Amino acid sequence: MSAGIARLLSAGLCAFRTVALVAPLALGCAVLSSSWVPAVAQAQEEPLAATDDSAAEDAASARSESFRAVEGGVQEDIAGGPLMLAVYVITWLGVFLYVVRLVLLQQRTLADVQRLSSQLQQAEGGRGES
Amino acid sequence: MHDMPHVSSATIPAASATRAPGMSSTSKWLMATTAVCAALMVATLYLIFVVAPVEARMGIVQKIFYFHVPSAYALYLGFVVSGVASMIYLAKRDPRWDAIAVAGAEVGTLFCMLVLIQGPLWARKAWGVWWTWDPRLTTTLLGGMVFVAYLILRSVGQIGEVEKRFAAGLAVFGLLDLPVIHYSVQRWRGTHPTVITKQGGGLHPDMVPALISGFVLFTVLAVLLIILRVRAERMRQTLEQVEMESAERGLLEDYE
Repeated sequence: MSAGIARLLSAGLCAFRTVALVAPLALGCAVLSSSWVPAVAQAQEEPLAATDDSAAEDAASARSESFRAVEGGVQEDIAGGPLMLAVYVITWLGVFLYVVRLVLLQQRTLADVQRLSSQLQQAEGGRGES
Repeated sequence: MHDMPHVSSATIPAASATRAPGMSSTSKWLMATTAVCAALMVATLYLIFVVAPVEARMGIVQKIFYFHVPSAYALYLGFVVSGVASMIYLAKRDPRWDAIAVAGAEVGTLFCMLVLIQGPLWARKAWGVWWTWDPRLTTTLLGGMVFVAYLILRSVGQIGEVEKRFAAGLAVFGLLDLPVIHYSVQRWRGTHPTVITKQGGGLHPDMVPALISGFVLFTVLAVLLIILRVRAERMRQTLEQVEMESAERGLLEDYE
């Protein structure tokens, strides 16, 4: 029973470490992609007027010069309700998962305490007999 | 080592707690704080969704503000606790301060991640983009990455004194980032709102109670989580110390 709990806790800890390592990377990738995608999409919306080689070259250089920072909000209608709901759900889910982590840590420590206690009792019993 | 128990089978941590028939005064206090936290949560949600009016320009998405700003405050709280405790640990080498530093870093990182998720969800509606390299956003991300590095360093198993000191230095470095985060919206031009700063236009009077309640809720929540984490870390520290001393006395044969 205790070995099963220990294995479960070990697997949980391993998963937590993996998440701790992968989450910053995933966050960084998400941040980079989200900040670049609107600029790329905006550039793709520019019409291609030239067809011959020189004109295409000019168009290419014009395209490369047409990247610009986002100014103000993009003109599109985005529903705020789902975004707000997502914030509240994610916040409480995050806090709940951290509480679960604390409970698991407490259980693992308790299992270690019981293991050490029995080991010490055995060791003291052995010394008493000798 | 400071304040560690002398080895015997009777001084194993938490053994007395597991045998105790009733709850200790500390447990009662924690239960009471948890109940207060739950009540505050209900009150805050009521103030946010019933009392506070919908903002004229942004609409309902502005209600993210009542969780986002207090989450950022809890982030500050956790990182300040971690940074200050790390400084004291570097000066005194007392494991109690190390435990407090770990707890502060974990709770601060939790709220930092929440802030970095809440912010883009708000920005998608307000700015039309998920993320922009605004000074406050960038410095917050930087601070979060410093403390994530701290936690990764601390999670590699039974670490030694050198690693603990290195991690403490990292936490102090992270602490230095906090004033930069705070004053970034005032010193540098950016897109992040400045509603509740001196430069801002302020809140509608009916929005203030929801924000204050949010601040109280997240403060209590952060303090509660830090205390729980400190208790768990202190228990582990004591356990490791007892285990090590038992092995040195030859009481544990299979100690690795």
